[in-house]
Amino acid sequence: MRIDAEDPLKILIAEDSATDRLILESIVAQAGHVPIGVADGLEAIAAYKMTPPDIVLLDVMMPNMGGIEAAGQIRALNNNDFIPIIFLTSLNDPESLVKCLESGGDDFIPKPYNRVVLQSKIKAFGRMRSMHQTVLAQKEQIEANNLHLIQEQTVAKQVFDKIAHTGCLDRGNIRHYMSPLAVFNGDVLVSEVSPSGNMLVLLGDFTGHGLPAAIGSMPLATTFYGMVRKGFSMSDVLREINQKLHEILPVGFFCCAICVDFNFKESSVKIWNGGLPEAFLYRKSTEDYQLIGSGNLPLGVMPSKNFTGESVTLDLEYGDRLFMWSDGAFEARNKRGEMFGEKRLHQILYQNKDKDTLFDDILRRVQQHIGSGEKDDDISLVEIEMQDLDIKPSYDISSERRKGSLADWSMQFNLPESSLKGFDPLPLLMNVMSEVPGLKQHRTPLYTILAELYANALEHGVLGLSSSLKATSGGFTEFYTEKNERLKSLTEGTVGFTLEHFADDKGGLLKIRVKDSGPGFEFENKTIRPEGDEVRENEDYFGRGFTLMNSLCESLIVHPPGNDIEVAYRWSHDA
Amino acid sequence: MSITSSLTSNGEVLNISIAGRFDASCLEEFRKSFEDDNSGGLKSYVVDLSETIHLDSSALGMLLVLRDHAGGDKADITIDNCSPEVKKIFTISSFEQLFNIK
Amino acid sequence: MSKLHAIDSETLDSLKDLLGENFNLLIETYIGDSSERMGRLKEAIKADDDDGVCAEAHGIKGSSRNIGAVVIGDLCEVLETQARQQALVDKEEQFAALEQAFADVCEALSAYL
Repeated sequence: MRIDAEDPLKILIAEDSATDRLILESIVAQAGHVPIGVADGLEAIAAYKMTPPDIVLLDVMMPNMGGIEAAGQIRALNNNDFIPIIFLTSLNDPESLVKCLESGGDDFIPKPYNRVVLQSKIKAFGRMRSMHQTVLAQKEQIEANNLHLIQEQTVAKQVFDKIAHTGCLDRGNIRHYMSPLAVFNGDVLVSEVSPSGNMLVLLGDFTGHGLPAAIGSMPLATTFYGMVRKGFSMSDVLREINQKLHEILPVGFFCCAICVDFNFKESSVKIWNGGLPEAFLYRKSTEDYQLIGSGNLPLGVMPSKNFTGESVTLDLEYGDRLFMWSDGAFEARNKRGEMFGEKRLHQILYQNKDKDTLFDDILRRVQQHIGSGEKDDDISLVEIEMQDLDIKPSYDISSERRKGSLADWSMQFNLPESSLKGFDPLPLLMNVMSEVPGLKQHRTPLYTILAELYANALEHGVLGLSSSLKATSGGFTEFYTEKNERLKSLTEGTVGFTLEHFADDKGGLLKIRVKDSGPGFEFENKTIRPEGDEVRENEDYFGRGFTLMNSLCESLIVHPPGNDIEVAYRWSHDA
Repeated sequence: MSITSSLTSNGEVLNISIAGRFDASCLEEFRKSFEDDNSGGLKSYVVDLSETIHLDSSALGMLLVLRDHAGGDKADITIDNCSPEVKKIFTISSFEQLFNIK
Repeated sequence: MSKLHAIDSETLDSLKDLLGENFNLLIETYIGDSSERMGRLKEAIKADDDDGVCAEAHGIKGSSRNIGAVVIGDLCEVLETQARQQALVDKEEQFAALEQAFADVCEALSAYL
């Protein structure tokens, strides 16, 4: 119940002298309030319980129970509500007055009563009580709101955790730390293994804090997982996330991010940094760090037509480690408001080179800096090590054999030079194949087969590149630079896919035939021996993919003049 | 933090200077500094950061809001008097692609 | 009317103003209540009950001052203080003076009714 300062107040008056009580009641009534007169402390407590008053006036000396004891008991009856107790007293020695206050009294009114003084005090205490009630109501409101907010955050966190689950963060070569409610600080960390066995990790930091910052994480995570699993390239994934965020987020909201694509087969990493601090790549061979700074606008700033998917590709060796963090790591402040700072972070990195404890050291030092009092940690820290790994996606295990879906089919799909320049046909073809129930589980080998066939057709057939370039570790980059240049200036060329699927009880047979517009190569004499020196002569065309393909497929036929390769992939539901 | 804005005498350039911290707490004031102008003759903007102590990602966001207000890709915005630290923040986020940073 | 000095007429006037039709009730209550207290005070004095003297004198003092019976208030205060310190002197004489003052006040008050 709220009261206004001018509303009539219920005033409990405990006074044993009938004369005095009558006078007090009259003074209270004259001021427009409602007096409730009683003759001693016991009656006062009973009346208080029956009708809680707004203000209590207590005579100190009364028979049965005096005012001081009554005040103590009345105070014990309520916790939060502020009900002023004013003592009526002719006592004026300090000791008595102190006793009154200690028992729970708020003020005194001396006898004999002065009407003006009494009415003013009632008015003043009425105002205080009204203020107190307002504050109390606001406090309750704030507490309720806070509770509500925490509940909402908990639910939101649960929803978020389902969408942006840890992905493949549990793999042994990744270490990561995010504060428990980091999502509400705008940090996001997602990771997934692509069908070809690459590991993609994205660490993002949205502008702002709280819900506005957290909200963008949802489309980011769903897009990331959806596309990585379909085998889209990192730049395609980033372009799509950028476009989504640009469409969804209000102007001025964006996501600084770093995205990495670890290729364990090639032992290389592709890194895209848009607005996050430099990532540190520890090179085991040189015992030093290579810094990968941002060269891109953050995600969501510009529409995707302006989006630059500019990434760096680096060859790695086993034991090389990549460290990434959001700027929360060095913006963490201690009690005095000092930031942890980039310098301090770099110092730890250089002092603890190649130590297994480095990750924990960084974390410990940042947390030490913040201290226990501060809750403002939005540290997100990730370490990924290049290891000899053969990882497989964990998500594609569903053995659901849906009825009434794709069984026997065939399709032809041709790409002229205009599409070859920028379009990646693999996700589309993977999508078609994944419509066959059960075939989805064979995604990894199928993707590898398609990727090899397409890469060979495009790189060696259409573009006429030599794979000997790839043989040296430094040449890897050179090869792709050359590839991009030739693609740019390509004026004619085609790659055609023919896919045929025959379903059977156990699974099926998928035939993939890829024909390119290149001149082909003399192959007849060399196919017979999959192992050995003969194959080396054909590296120009087929490279190391050959052995891999042969091991995955039931059969591999090269149609003359060598620009037309057909493989048959036998699959079963059990695999 | 205080934000002041003034038009050049020919009414073509709006100068906005930010003193103190440039962060989320400035949002309304910063917005006001350019939204209040209805003269129509405005051709370019100069954001003066000489008195700016600290700048965070919300500030970058606000600059994008200004850019959007000023016509997006057609906007002519100069960010002037950046300290080396502030310049670094702009470099990390590649904002030199969107603004003329001095 | 000669006893009017026993009471502060200003106080009484303002009470009449405050209480309106309840004023008569106030006077009757005061006279009735105080008479009883005077009886109890007399007995306490006789019985050498200092606590009783203190409590009754305190009670009479409070309400008497509230209605403007200044003389009674002052006389009671002396009794109350002495009784609290257990140092009552000439208590019979003091009580006699109090009785006289009370009679004067009652007389003066009845003139107001």
